[in-house]
Amino acid sequence: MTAGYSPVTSPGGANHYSLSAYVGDGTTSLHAGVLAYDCQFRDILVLQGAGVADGHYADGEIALAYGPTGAWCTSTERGRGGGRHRRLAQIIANAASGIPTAPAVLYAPSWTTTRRTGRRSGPTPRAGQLLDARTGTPSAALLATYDGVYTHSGQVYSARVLFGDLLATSWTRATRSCSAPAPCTTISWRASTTRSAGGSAPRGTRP
Amino acid sequence: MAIAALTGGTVDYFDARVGTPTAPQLAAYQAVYTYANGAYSDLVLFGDRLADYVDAGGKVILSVFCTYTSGIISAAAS
Repeated sequence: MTAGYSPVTSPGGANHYSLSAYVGDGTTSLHAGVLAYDCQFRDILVLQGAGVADGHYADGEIALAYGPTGAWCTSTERGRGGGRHRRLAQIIANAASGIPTAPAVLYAPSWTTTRRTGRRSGPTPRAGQLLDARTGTPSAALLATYDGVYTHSGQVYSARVLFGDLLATSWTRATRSCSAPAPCTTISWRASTTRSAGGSAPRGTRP
Repeated sequence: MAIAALTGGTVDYFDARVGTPTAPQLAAYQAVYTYANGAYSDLVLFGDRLADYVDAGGKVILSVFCTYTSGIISAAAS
């Protein structure tokens, strides 16, 4: 299978025949709506050509990979229930929908931007995707370069009203997760003129 | 059925053990999902048709055992 038609190949043409769990490191739309799965029948793969891996199993095997023309999917339902069938269907639906894309997300909490080692609650922000909102406020121009923003309050924002206003007016979509002391809710909204309304964190509103 | 429910589109089944979809058949779909769990009816022809389908803009999603060559199943798409 040449590189033009598959992002992966199997040098030995073998399969693991062993169960392993997806570690949650996928970053593209291939994994949209899919948080966890495992699989026993997994081909032993390496990337080739322009292939890009998007997610791995705990033993390091590629879970999904994609190339310019299509997507490879190694996960398969095993007929034991547990939602495997639906998760595989979601992955196939995602792959069939288009070339995978990775949204740019700005991680801007009023808390440390250093993630705890081993935490797997979400993708690890990369350099250029972190902003300590305790010491600064992203400009509208900076926000405009991202598809989404994630923020939560842990300490006082540098300028909570300004940040709230910028989020409300500049964003088409944002997500807020608040740990304390404001209510712990995750919300998302589209373009809104709602302004921040006090408290310790930027305020948003549901659509 | 689950895929159709998620995409809102049409999903049809083709048993590649007993036949090979023609180019016009493939062209009617936006994507093809295939995996091997038995010998393909004609793995070379199917591979060639999938390659032509990709060249024409189709999406092919290859799943488990499509690179498997250690046993009797070989599904290489040239």
